[in-house]
Amino acid sequence: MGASRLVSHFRHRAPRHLPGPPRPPGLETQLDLRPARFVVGVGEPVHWSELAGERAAPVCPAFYLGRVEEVMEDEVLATVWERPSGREASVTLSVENQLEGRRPAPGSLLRLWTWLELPGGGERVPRLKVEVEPPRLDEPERQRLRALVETLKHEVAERGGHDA
Amino acid sequence: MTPEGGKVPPPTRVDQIRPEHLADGALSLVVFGPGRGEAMVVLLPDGRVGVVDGCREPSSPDTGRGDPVREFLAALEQRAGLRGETFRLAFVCLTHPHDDHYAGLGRLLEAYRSRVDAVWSVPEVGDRYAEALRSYVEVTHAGREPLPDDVKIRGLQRVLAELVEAHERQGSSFRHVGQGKRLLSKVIQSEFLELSACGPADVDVKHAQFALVEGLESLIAEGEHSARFDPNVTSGALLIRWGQAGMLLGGDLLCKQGRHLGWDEVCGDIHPPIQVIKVAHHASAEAHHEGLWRRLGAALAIVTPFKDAKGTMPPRPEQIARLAQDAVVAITSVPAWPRRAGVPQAVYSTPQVPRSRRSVTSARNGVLSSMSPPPGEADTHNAVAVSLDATGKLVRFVLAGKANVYAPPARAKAAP
Repeated sequence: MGASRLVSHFRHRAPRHLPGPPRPPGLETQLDLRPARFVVGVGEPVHWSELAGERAAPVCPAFYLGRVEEVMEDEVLATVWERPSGREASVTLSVENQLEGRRPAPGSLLRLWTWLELPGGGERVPRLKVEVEPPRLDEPERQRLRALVETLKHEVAERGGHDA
Repeated sequence: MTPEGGKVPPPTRVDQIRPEHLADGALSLVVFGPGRGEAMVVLLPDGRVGVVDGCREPSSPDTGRGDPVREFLAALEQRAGLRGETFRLAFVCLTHPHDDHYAGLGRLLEAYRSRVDAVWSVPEVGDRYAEALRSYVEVTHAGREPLPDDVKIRGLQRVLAELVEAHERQGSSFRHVGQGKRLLSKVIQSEFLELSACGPADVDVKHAQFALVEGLESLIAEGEHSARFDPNVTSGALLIRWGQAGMLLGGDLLCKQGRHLGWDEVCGDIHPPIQVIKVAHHASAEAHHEGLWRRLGAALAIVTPFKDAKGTMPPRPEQIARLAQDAVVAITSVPAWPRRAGVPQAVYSTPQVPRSRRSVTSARNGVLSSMSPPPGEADTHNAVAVSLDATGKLVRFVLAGKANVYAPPARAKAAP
């Protein structure tokens, strides 16, 4: 009995030499998604908001979504996932140098843009932009938690013993 | 300290712990620590088996592949089958609801439904605190889009649901892990075996319940997450005694911190002989109680790194150097410590373990220089195992995967 063959499906793509869809003006661009294990950051704009110099060339961009895991005195430990591959890594961010003094709460969502700029003269300027989205409650969640807390407070009072 | 000439026998080096590596009729402990998280399997001298915590979600939930605990239990079950015995778990214990301790435990309980004699846990399973804790974790995760770490929240939901399922519908007994509670006792080979909880202190559990309520109230009032509830302050800690043999499984219990008393409250109940300690909270300084450590004088300290010991994450080199003054210190996986003078080194040569090929990122721009990938498949079976006889003698010491003994440099050089 012959071995079965796995046949991958041919995907129709426009030839590389043909022009693609028009690019939007400015520094913002969209990356094509190449799904891997997880696809993260769908719809997130990848952009360079500022440049090191007027003639700087931004290269090697990488965008990550991250989750704050631990907040220490000088640094924040986060898990990040590269967009769009979903590759996971742990990263330690300096509160002073990389988070501009921000100390996001554990569980906060991070959006990290990284790129290199080549202003000329062989210089390479590493750039990082971090946006922090703190955890927020919407109204239905707030109502649910309020009901839960009322019950809990009642139970704690029955058990007694809060000496703080 | 190194094993040579001491109370700890020279280690057997293996790729993966298997039942035959442990001594029959002995009290054995396997500590799995792939680099993030920890799980333990306790083998009692009468052949019964218990699980404490979980460290990895399986890549295959049905077979358990990818979860070192499930793979080890499968080997035990296969051995029991060859002997014509039925395989059950004597207990499954969740020391505290942090993802580096519950990963995979819900799937394990699913797989062993109706085959678990007892489940032990803090917080109290099935009550409103479990629901509150779940809500707290859910609402303190920002962003509405699915991220791969949703698996953590689903893992917590699953393990809490399965603990309830086990004791309400599958016939498992339930015990709350707390200071001084005897969980299991039996005479085995004419020696008394007792497994008891030595933490958390009752007063800490009460305080933690208030802290959880306060955290939720803060969320409701401010809409943002500012207060922080830390399950480590009420982590369970277990004590196993059999004749003169003793093991302390420290969970993630911390020392006195604010209104929480931790080890400072419960250490008076813990006495020698204790030969083996699973060091609390990945050997962080916050969990080290010097008085208790000196009094117990354990021969072997087993440490599992938290987040690969990156940045300031435990274990820190100076803390391992301190422990290594009095005991053999075995670490389950290679800590990501900077190379500098005074940092403890691996005593034994690194085995030929295939390294993970997964790169951190495809865009190697180097801007986030501190990036490190999660433990790969090559780290799954990192573990330390030990067997004790009833006199307290260590009869087996096994290092699996990248586990090694660590000692300050001068002593590391002295070892063969």
